[in-house]
Amino acid sequence: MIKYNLKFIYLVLILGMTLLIFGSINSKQNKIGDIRDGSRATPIHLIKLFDADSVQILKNDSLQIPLSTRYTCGECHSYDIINKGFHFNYADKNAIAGRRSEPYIYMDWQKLTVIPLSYREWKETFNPRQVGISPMKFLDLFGTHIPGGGVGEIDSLISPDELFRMEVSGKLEVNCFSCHDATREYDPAEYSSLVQKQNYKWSAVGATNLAVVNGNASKMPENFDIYTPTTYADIDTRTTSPPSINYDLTKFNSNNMVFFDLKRKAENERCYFCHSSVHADDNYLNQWKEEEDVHIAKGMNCVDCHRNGLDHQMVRGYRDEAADYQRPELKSFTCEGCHLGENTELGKAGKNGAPRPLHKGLPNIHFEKLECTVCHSGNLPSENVSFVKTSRAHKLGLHKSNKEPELFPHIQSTVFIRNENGRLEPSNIIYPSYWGIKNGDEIKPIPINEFYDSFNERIKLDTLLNYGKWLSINDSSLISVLKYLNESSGNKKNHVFVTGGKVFELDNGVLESTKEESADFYSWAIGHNVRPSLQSLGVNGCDDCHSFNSDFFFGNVLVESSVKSDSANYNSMTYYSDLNTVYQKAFSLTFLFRPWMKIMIIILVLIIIFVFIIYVSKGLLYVTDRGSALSSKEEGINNV
Amino acid sequence: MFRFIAIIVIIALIYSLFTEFKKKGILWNEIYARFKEGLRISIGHFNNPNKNDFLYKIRMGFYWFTIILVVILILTSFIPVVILGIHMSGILLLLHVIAALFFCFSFTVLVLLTAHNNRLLDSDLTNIEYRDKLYEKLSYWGIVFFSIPAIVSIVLMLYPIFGSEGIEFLNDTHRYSVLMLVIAATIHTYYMIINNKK
Repeated sequence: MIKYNLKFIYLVLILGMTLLIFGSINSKQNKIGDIRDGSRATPIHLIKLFDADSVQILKNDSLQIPLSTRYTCGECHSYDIINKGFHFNYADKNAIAGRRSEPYIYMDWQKLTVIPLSYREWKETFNPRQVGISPMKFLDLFGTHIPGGGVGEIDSLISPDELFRMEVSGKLEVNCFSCHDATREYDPAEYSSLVQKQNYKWSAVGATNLAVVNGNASKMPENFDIYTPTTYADIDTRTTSPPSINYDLTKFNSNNMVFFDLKRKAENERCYFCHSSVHADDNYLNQWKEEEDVHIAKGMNCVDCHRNGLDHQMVRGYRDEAADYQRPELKSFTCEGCHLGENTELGKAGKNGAPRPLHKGLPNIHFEKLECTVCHSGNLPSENVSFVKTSRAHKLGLHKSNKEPELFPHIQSTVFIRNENGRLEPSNIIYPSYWGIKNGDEIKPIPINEFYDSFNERIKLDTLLNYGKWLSINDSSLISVLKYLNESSGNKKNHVFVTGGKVFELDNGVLESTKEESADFYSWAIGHNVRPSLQSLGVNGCDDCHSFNSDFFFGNVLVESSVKSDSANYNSMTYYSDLNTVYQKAFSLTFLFRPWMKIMIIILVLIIIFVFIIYVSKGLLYVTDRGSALSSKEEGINNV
Repeated sequence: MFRFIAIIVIIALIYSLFTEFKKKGILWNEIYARFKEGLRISIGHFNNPNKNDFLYKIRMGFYWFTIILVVILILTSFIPVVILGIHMSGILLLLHVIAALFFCFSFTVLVLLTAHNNRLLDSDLTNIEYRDKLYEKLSYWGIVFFSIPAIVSIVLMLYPIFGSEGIEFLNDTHRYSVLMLVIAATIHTYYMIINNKK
C-alpha cells in the first residue's frame, strides 16, 4: 500500500515539475503584451512603474527613482527578445550585419580626422574598439541618436574600466518611448541631452512628459550613490547637481498607475529624429520647397514598410535582405515586392495600394543594371554632388544644434555606386581622413586616446579662419607631423596619413602618396526620399541620363582631401559607377542621332514592307491565275 | 527559354550545314575564300572585269556589306544573350546599335535591287530541276518577311508606347524574328551555294 502511494506521489511530483517547467517556459515566451488577442484597438497602457531593481515606484516615495523600461515595459513585453532587435543589436557580434548602412562617424576636425565606425564590422568601417573608443566614450559621441540598448546595457560589452562610471550613470536601457510614445510632449532632444550628461538611467523617462530630470551624472564622482549624500558632498552645486528626477505626481492614479499614450506603430516624427537627412542645396533654407517622400505624401508611415514583430528586427527593405537574414518573406517588402511582385505564400504584391508601374519605353535592361532607387530616390543628379547632413552624423534635432549647411563631416549625396549585385544604387559617400600606422598592406588608425598633446600644435591649423570649412594641411607640416610620429615610436612604426583616397607616408624623409583601396571612400545606399514617376530620373526621356554631359554619368564628386596640395580634386560619377567614361560618352552620342535614326528606320522598313507586299501580292495573283488556268486547262502565264 | 531554343536551332543549323556540304562535296575552304572575296567586294574591289554593270556592282557591294553587318549583329547579340545569358550592354550594345542602323539601310537597298530577281517564275514551280532555285527564292522572301517584325519591334521599343511587359513582348518578337531570319538566311545561303555550284 505504501509502495503504491509512493508511486502515486512520484507520478504527481513528475507531472507537477513538468507543468512547472513548461509553464515557466511558456510564460517566458508569451507575456501578456507579446501576443495579440485580435483586437485592432490600441491597448490602453495604464501601468505600474518599476525601477531598475524591479521595485515599484510609488508617488509618495521620498526619493524618486527613474523607471526602468526593462521592468516597467518588460512587465508585459519580453524585453530580452526586444533588446536584440535591429536598433539595439548594433554591438552584438552574433547579430547579422546585413547591408552596410550609415556608419557612426568619428570626427575631430582639429586633428583632420574623420573615421567611419561600426560595431557591425561593415567593410571599410572600423570597430570603435580599434580606434580606442570605449563603450561609454561611444555613447558620449553617438548616444544622442541611439535608442538605448547595445553597449549601454549589455554587461559583456561594458568596459571593466568604466564599471564605476556605469554604476553612476546606470544602464542605458532600451528607450521604448523613443519610438512608441505617441504624445507630442515626448522630447527626443531632451533624451539626447540626458545621454550626453551620462544620465543614462534617467534619460528614457526624462524625455517623456511624466518627469523632469535634472543634474549631470558625468560630473559626479565614481563613488556617487544617490542614497548617500556624502558621496557627492564636494560637488559645487552652483554649477552642477546630482542627477535627480521629479515625477509629475498628477499623472499617478490612486493605485500608483500611470497612463502612457503609446502606439505600436511608431509615428514618422519618432523615426525622423534619427533618420532625417537634408541636402545643403538651394532648398536648405527653404523647407517649404522640399518635396516629401511620395509614400509619406500619400499618407503612409515609415513603419508601414519598415515593419517589425516582437523581435524588433526591422524590415530594411533592400533587395538581398531576405537572403541576408534568411527570411524569405522579406522579399515582399522591397520596392519590387510591393510594386511588381506576385501574390505568393510569402507575401502579397500591392501592399498599401502600391500601384504597378508601367515604365513606358524603358528598356528592360535598366531593371537588371539599376536599383529602383536610382531613378526614384535621392536628389536628382546635378553637376556637382551636394553635401548632405544626416541626423546621426550632424546631431540634427538637438538643442542648439549647428545649422551651418556645410557642417563636418562632409557627406556627399547622391552618388551612384555599383553594389555587390552589379546594380547601380544611389548612395551617400564619405572620404575617411585619419592618422594611421601602416603594417604591410594593412593600415590601422592611431587610437584616439594615443594622440599626443603636442599634436595640435604641429598640425598648425588656423581653426578660426577655417571654421565650418574642410581643413587641410600643407606638405611641410604633414612631413613634420609624420616625422614626429615616427620618431615618437623610435622609428619602429610607419605612420601614415590617409585622406582623399590616398595614403601619405614618408619614404626616406620624402612625402609620397599612393592610391589604395583601404583609403577609399565609404558609401552606403539610400532609399529616401522616394520620388513619384513624374519626378523620377528619365521621365524626360533617355536624355536625362544618356546625354553627352549627363550629370548622372558625368557629375562631379569631390574627393575631399586634408592635404592642401592634393585638394580640389573631382572624380567623374563613372568612377563610382564602375563605368568607362569614354564608352559612356560614345554611347551618349548615339542618342544624339536617335530621333533621325528612328525616322530613317521607319522609312526604310516601310519600303521593305511595300516591296514585300507588292511581290507577295503578285505571287498570290499568280497562284489564283494558275489555279483558274489549270481548272480551264489553259496555258499558264510564264512570269508571275 | 529563348536561349535554350536558340542554342538548339544554332546547333541544328551547323550540324545540317556540315552534313549537307559533306554530302554535296562542298569544301569549307571554298566558302571561306568566297567570303573573303565578298569582303573585298564590299569595299569596292571587283575581281571580275566582265561584270562592269553599275547596278551589279552596287548589288554585290551591298550584298556583302549586309552580310558583314549581319555577322556583326549576330556576334554582338548572340554572344551575350545566347552564350552568356545576359542582356546586351556595353561595347557590344554600342556596336549592335550602330551596325543595326547601317543594316537597315543596306538591307533595304539590297531588297530593292534583288526582289525582282527573286520573284517566282513558272519554271520554279513546274520544273523539278529548279526546285533548289525555288527554295532559294522562298528563303529569300522568308528573310524579307522576318526582317519586318525584327526591325519594327525595335523601332516600337524606342518610343514610350509600351510598358515593361509590352517591351518584353517586343524584345521576344525581335529575338524570335531574328532567329527565324537567321534560319531563313542560312537556308538561302545554302541553296545559293548549291545553285552556284550547279
